Amino acid sequence: MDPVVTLTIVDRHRNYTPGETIVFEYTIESLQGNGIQAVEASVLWYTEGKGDEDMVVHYFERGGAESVIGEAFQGACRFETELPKSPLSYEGLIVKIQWCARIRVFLTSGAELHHETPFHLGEVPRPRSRSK
Amino acid sequence: MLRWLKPWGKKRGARRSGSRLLGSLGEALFYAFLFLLGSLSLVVILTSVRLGTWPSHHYFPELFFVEVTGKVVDQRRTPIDPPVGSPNVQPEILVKLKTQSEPVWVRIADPSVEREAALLELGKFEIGQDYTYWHALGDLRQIQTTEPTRYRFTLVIVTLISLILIGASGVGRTVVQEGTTPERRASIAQRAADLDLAGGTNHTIIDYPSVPDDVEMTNSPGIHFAYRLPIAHSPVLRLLAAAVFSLVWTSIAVVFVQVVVGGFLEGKGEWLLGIVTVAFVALASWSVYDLFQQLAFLVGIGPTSIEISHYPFYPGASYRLLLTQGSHMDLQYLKLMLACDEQATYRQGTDVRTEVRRVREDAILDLEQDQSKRDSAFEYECELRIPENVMHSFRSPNNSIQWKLIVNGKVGNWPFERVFPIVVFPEDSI
Repeated sequence: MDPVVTLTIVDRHRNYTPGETIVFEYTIESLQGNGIQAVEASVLWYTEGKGDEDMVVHYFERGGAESVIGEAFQGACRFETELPKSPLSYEGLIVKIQWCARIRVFLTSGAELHHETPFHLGEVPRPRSRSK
Repeated sequence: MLRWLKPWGKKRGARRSGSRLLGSLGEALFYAFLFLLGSLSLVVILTSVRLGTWPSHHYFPELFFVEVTGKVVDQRRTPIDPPVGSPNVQPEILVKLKTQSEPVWVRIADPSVEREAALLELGKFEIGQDYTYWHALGDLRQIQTTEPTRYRFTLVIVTLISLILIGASGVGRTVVQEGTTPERRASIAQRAADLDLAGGTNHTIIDYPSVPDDVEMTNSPGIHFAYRLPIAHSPVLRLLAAAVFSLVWTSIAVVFVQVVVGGFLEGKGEWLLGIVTVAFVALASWSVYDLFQQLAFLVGIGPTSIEISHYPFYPGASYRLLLTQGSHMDLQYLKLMLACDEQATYRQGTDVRTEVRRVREDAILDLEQDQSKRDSAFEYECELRIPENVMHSFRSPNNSIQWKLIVNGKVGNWPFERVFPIVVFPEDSI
């Protein structure tokens, strides 16, 4: 079985408000002798839709093997961040803003594991469709 | 069906459809080639300058000129046989260099000049006086009275250093991009941007990331209410652009007309130039017409202004608003609406396209006005309510959400539209 990384939100609910602290938890399973070179955890937003993608990282942390070994094998590692006031999640007609957390695990073999968990910041409803 | 192997994938904006690794490798090789080309050329040129060999000695002989002093012992004007209409005198001085036993003739004007100019040039060198000269090392045939310039050599060195810098930075950037994740690169860029913002005074960008800068919203006080909103595209600037274009184009057309008419009066008229001149005159006439149209448009319609009672704008909040429309002509109709547009910019190959989609449009004023308003400005005060549960203003490099107040109207026979961008903040930020 190949190594797997999973990322979940602790105490997940539907929408998060600006200023709220959000906690993530990740686990690495089935390493089977593979060593961990580094782990990158990030909370970010990116745009989707018609335009070229824009991406801004709100939280980023990169750690070496020492930051996870001993914890990840036993159970789960956690990281948390306070969410900003903007931009709120949005699903427009040609512009969409998607918040997510990403975890990337770099193994000593050169392989890379990653997992992404989306979430909603704010509660902006979808706009009605109308053409200009 | 047999397909040829493509060395690169088709570009789709920032997204590449081919192999990312091959793309990065090709990019790194290209920049490495520039770096090597610049480095090797620079080493070869500087070494040859030091040794006095090819290629410097051949392409930059001015680097090897030596400075000498010598006494002028004689002057002469050598008549030459130039093409018809060209100057026909070559002024020369006989110089006895301190390093040479035999005097040599030195040309002091190149190419030949008229007789009067030759006398003027010769007057600069008095017989019996010492002057400084420059000549190629070991070659007195290339002696000259002015110091050789070295701008060609400097230009080549600057070009080669530029190649080295572009190549090195390109290789470095490609290696960094390939060796780091998008999140890590974005994080580094964000930290750098935060350092820049730390010295700034506008807290909107710091407190509300990706909400557009709102400094313009409050830097103009109103007369009736607290703030006067800025207009998106000032009609005065358009008038100024039209005036500059008209002035430049009309000046060019006048010069053309002068040349063509002069030619015809002398019996040497050029018909092709005449046809081109007619086109220039036609465009110049149109530009003058357009300038007066815009001037009349600006004076006839008059200024539009919107004042608001307080700021910032939040979803669900209400504000007092005063719309003022000055006009010297009859106001046919006037509309005021609150609109929200999504704007997306994307690349298709080498083209950059922008698409705008209106997602909301709320009418605030819809007025049919038949009576004349020639003597006084039209004023309308009302409540502006930002709808609840709407997206805030947003701006990123390729995407944006823009809120705006739009004034549509018709004065006389001229319809017009004026746009006042506003910044709406997130609902929970009060």
